[in-house]
Amino acid sequence: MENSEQDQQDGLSRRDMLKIGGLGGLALTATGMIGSTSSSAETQGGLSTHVAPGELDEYYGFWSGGQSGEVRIMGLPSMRVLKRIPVFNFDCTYGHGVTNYTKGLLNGKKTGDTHHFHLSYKDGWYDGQYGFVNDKAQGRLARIRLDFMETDAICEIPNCQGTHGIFPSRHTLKDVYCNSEFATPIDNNGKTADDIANYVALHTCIDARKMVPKWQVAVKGNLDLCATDYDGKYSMGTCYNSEKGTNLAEMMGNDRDWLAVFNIAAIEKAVADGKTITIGDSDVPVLDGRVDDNPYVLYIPIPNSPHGVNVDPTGRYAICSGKLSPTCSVIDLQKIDSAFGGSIKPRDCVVAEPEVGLGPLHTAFDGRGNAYTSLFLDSAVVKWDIAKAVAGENPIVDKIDIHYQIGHINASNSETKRADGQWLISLNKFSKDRFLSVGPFHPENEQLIDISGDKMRIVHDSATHSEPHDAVIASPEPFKPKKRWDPADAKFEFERKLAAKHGVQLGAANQVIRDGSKVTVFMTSVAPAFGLTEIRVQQGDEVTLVLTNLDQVDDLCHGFCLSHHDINFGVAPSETVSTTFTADTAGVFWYYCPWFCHALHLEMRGRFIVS
Amino acid sequence: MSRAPTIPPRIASQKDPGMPILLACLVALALAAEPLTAQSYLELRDGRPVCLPQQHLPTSFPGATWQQIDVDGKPVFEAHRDGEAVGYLFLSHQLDDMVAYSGKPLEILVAMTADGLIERVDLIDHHEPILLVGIPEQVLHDYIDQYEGRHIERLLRENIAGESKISLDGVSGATVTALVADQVVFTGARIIAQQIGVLARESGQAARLNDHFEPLQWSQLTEKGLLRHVSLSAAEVRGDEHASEEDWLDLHYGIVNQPSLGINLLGEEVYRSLVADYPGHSLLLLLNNGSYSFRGSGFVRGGIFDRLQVTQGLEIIRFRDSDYHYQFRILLEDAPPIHEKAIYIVRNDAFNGAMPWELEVLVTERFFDSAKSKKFMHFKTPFEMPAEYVIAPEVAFGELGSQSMTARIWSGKILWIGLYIALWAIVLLSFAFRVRISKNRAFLDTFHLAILVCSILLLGIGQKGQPSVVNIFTFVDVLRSGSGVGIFLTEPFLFVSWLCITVGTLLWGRGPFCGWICPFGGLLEILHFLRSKLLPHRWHSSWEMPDRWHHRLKYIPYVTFIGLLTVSLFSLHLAEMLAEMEPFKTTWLVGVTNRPWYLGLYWAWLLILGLVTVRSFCRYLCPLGGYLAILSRFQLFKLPRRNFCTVCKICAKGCSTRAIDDGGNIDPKTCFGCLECTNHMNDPKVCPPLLRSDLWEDYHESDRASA
Repeated sequence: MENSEQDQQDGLSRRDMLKIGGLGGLALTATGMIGSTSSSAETQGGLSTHVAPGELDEYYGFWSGGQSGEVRIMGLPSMRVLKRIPVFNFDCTYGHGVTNYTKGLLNGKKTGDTHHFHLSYKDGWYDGQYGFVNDKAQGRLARIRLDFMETDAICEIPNCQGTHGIFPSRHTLKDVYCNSEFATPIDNNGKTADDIANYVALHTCIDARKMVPKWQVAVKGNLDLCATDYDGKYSMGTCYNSEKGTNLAEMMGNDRDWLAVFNIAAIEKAVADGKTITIGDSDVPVLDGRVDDNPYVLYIPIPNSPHGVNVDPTGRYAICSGKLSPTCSVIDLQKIDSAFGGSIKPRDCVVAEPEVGLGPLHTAFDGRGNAYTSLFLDSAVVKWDIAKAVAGENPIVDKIDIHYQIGHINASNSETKRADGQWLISLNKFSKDRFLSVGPFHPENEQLIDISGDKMRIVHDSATHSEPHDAVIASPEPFKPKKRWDPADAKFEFERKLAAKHGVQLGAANQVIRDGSKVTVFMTSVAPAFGLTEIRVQQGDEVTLVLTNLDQVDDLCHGFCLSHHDINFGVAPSETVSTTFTADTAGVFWYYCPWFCHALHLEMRGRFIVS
Repeated sequence: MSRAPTIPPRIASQKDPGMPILLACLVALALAAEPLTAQSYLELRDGRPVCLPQQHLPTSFPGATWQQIDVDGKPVFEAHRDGEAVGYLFLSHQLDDMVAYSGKPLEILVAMTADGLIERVDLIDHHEPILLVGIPEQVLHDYIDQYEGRHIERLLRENIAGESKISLDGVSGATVTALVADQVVFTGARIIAQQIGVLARESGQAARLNDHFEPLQWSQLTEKGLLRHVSLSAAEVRGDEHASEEDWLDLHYGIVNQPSLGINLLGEEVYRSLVADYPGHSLLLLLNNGSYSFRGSGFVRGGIFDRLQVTQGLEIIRFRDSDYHYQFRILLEDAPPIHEKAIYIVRNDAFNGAMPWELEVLVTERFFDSAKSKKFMHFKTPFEMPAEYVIAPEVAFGELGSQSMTARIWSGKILWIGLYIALWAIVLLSFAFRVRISKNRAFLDTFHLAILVCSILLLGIGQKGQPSVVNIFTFVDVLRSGSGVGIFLTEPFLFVSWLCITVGTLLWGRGPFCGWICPFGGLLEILHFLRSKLLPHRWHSSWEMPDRWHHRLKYIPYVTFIGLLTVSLFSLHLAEMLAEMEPFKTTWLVGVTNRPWYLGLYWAWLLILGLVTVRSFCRYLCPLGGYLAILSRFQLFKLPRRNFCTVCKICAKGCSTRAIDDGGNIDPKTCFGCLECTNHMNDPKVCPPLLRSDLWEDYHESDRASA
C-alpha cells in the first residue's frame, strides 16, 4: 500500500514548482509561449492541482450549493468534494430532516436555494467558528458550526422575500447582514398587491451568536449582493431595480442604479431610540431608509444594474460592477462619512470607474493590488490594477477566456486582509461541451485558475452538481474540526432531557420505555451491534428512538435505517441522535446500520416488531 | 634468607614458549559459549499465578481470583476478591532489569496490596557470587524480608531522603546486592502504585524546555539537533541485494513545543494555537519520506498506531487516533517535500520532552521476503533535546537510579578510597625511585613490611576490597552479555584496584600488586617473616621445591586461571565455586569461623605451606597471580641488570621467589618486586663490579641500561 503511494509521487511537487516558478517563466518566455510583448521580468505561476495520495489539500473551499439547498466543502487545489453539508434540503445521508434536531431546524421545509456562503471573522481574518449561508427560496439564514461542520441554526427572516446577498461583520463575530432581493408590499396580505409604490426591500441585521433578527432597514429599490467593510462601520447592498419594475423592461429602465451603504452606528442608535415600526406579526424593529439624505442609508449612483460588491483586502475600496455597463466602480470607503455628513455628494465616493469588459459581475483580489472581475457576457476574467484605475491609467493587466459564462469568482483568502494570490475559482453557469454528456441538465463547470504569476492560467475543469453560486477559499489553519462529539454538547439537550425524564443514563441504557401510547427507545451502538436486537411496540404508538454511538475510534460512524418507515440517519462517534415517528403498520421490520462500520456490518441489525 | 643448594639450570630462552599459546586460548575462550540468561517468569495456571521454571507457588492473597494486567507494557498479576482488586504480584526483574553484582538481575517475587503495602517478598533466583558460597543465602533473604509490612511510599521517601530503615547490618560485604534489591523492588512497586493511584506520579526531573526562539531554516534545525534525521535503508531491512531501493524510513523527528522548532516549522500563529490546544502535553513531530509508513493502517479500525511507540525511562507511550494531529503545513522554504507527516500528542504526564527519549518503529512481517524467517524488526532511534533548549533541573529529587546509588556508595567511602590510592601511589613511586628506597637493606625491609601491614589493614581487614579472579569472570561476562560495565562502579575498591593493578602491572609487572598491595600475599609474607623472628634459629630456613618440581609447578597458576575462566564462560556459578581455591573470602570477607570445615582446613593448610615455603600459594596456585603473570609479559620497565650478572649470581641466589635465572635475567612473571636484587646491585660491599672496579673495569663500560 505504501509502495503504491510512492509510485504516484511522480513529477515535481508543488513546492518544487513554486521554487522554480521564476525560472519556468523565463523558459516559457524563451520558447515564445507567452508572446513577444511579455517582458523577461514576468513570471508565470507554476501551481499544480495534483495532490498525491495521502497528502492533504492546501485550502478549504466552502461552496454554496444553489438550488440543491446545501453547502459543500471542497479541497483545493485538487477540487475534491470532501463533504456535502445539508442545510435547507432533506438529506438521508446524515438524516437531515429525519432526526428531531434537524426537524427542529428545518421547521417543516424541505427546499432551499443557497447562494452565498461566508465565514465568521476576527480582525479581518477567519476565526474558524461559523459559516453563514442564505436561503433565497424561503428567505432564511443558516449557520454552520465549523467545529463539526454541520448546520446548527436556521433563522427565518421576516417581512421580506428573496434573501440573497449576505455578509457577516469582519471586525469580530457580531452581525450577519442580509439583503432581500424581492421588494414586496409592506403589509403583504394580498390586498395591496398593486400598490407598487409601497413595495419595499429590507436590509436585515441578524445577531450572529443568537441567530435572531436585530433590526431591518427599508430601502428604495431592491437589494442584491452584500458586503461589509473591515471596521464594522458599514454594510452595503447593490440595487439593480431602482425602478421597482416588475418586469425586465421596467427593471432595466434607469441608466444608473445604486449601491446602498448602511451606517450601522446610526441605525443602531435609531433602533435604540425607538425610531422604528414593526410590520404585521413580527416584532423586529424596522427603520425607514427610503428618503433621500437620511442618516442611515447612502445611495451611491452606479451605472446600469450593479450586481456584485466586494471590498478589497486593504479595506479601502469597494468594487461594484455594473452588470449592464462595462465598468467597475471603485468606491473609496474613506469618503463615506463625508457623504453621510453631506459635505460631498454620494457619487463623489466613486474614485474610479474603469472599463473592464462586458457584463462585469464580481471581483476578487490577490493581495498584490490586483482585482479579478468576472465578465459574464465576455465569458472571461479580467485582471486589473486598482491603483492604476484610481490614478486614471489603463488598469488592464490580463484577460483570460472562461468556459463558459462566468458568474461568481473568488480567490484564496480574498475576502480577508490576508489575500494570498494563489488560486482563483471561476464558477461558470454553462459547461456545454466540457464534459461527457449526461442529458439536457449539464453539470456546471468550475475552473481553477493559477494566479500566482503575472498571467492567469486555467489548470483544472471541475464538473459540479448544480448549482453553486459562490465560493470561499480559505487557508486551513483557522479551522479545527472535532473528531468526535462531546456528550455535553448543547445539541443533545432534547435527548438529555428525555433521558432525565425517564430516569435513564444516556449512552448506557438499552431499553424500551412505554408511557401511554408513547414509546421511547434508548439504544447504543458499538460495532458491530446495536444495544437492542429487538424492539417491540404496539400499532399506533408514537415511537421516539434515541441512539448513541459509543465507539471511541475516529471515523467509526453508525446509522439507523428502519425498513419501510422512511427513517434513515447517521450517528457519529459519541453522538446521540433521536427521531420520532408513528408505528402505523403491524409487522416485523428490520432495522440496520447504514454506515459501514465493521466486517460484520451487515449483521448489525435487529427487529422492530409492531403488534 | 636461605635457598636450595642446587644451581638452577640455564633457561634456554628468555621468552616463554607457552605464553602465546596461553594468550590464544584466552581469546578463543572469550569468544566461545553464550551466557546463560534464562530468567523466571509468572504464568497463570489453573487460575493461580505460578513462578516458572521454579514451579514456585506464591501464597499471597489466598482465595483471590487472578488476572494478568499490563503495567507500562510489563506483566503484573492482579488479585481480585469480590470484584475488587486487592493486591498485585510481580517479578522485580520484569519491571526493572537493573543488574546486580553478578552482572545479572535479582529475581524477586513481590506481593503488594492494593493499598501499597509490601505484603511479601521472595528471592526467587540470583547469581550473586558473594552469596553462593560465602555469606549464607539466608542473609539476603533476611534483608529483603525487612520490606514486608512496609508501605511503598514510606520506603521510597526514606530511601530518597537517605534515612532508610532497612538495615544493612547483616549484608556487609554484599551491599551492592542489597542496594540493587532496594532499587528493583521499590521501582516495581512504585510503577504499580502509580498506575493504581496509590502513589502520585512525581515527575522527578524538573528539566524542561526553554522558550528560546531564533529564526532557523530546515537545514539549521537538523544541524542544531532540534530535528533529528535518521533513515532505515532497504538493505538493512531486506538484505544487501536491495541496497539500491528507496529507504524504508527516512525520518525527521523532534519535539514541536520548543519554539525554535515549532514556530519556524509551523508559523507562530499555528504554533501558539496548537500548544494552547494541548496544554502541558509534549507534541511529537514525525516526518517520513521513506517507502514504509510509520502509521500503517492499524489505527483506522483499532484506533492504535501499532507500528509506533516512544519510550522514556520506564514509560512506554503508544498513540491513539485521538492523539494524532495531521492537518498542518511545513512552512520552511528549504524543507524537502514530505509525504507522511504527523504530530502526536503525548498525553502521558510522565513524559518530559526535555529529557532523552527513544522512538521505535515496528517494521512488520508482510513487508519482508516470504523466504526470510524474520517476522518483524524494531527500528529504534534516540532523541535528546540539545542542551541549549533545555533548562536543567534545579533539584534532582526523584526516582531511585543506578546513578544515585553509585554516587552514594562512592561518597560514603571517599576517605578510604583516597587512602588506598595514596598507598598505590607510594608503591609505584617506590618502584620509580627503587635505587634510593633499596639503598639501605634494613630500611627496605621495614618499609616493605610497613606497606604490607597498611595494605592488610586497609584492603583486607578494613574495607574488604581484596581483588579476586572472580572479578575477571564477572567482567568478561558483563562484556559478553552487554549489560553495561557500570556495575563495577558500585564497588569502589575493586574499581580502583583494577585500575591501579592494570597500570602498575603494565609499568613494573606483577610486583607492585602481588609483592606489595595484595593483602593475602602480604599476610603470607608477614607470617613467614614472623616465623624467622619467633622460631628458634634452626627453623629459620625456608624449604624450597626441588628444581625439577619447581619448574613444573610454577605453571599451575596459569592452568588454574585458564581453567576457571573457561568454566566461567559456561557456568559462572561453577567457576565461582571453584574460585574458592582463593582463600581471600575466608581470610577477609567472611572469616574462617563462618566457613564450612573443609574450607577452613584448606585455609589452614595454605597458611602452613606459606610458613614452610615463601609465598607458596602465590607462586604455585593463585589464579589471579596467573593472570597478572600473563599481563606482566607486557611490562614497560624492567629492573636493570649488569653483564656481569651471568657470572656473579649473588642476586639469583638471594631471590626468594627464584625469579632470576642463570643468565642473571629477571623473569617478570615470577618476580614479586621485593627489590632485594636492586639493593645488592647497588651495594658497593656486595656487587662485585662495585667491590672491585679495577678487576671488572671492562664491565663498567657495558652496564646494561634498563630495558
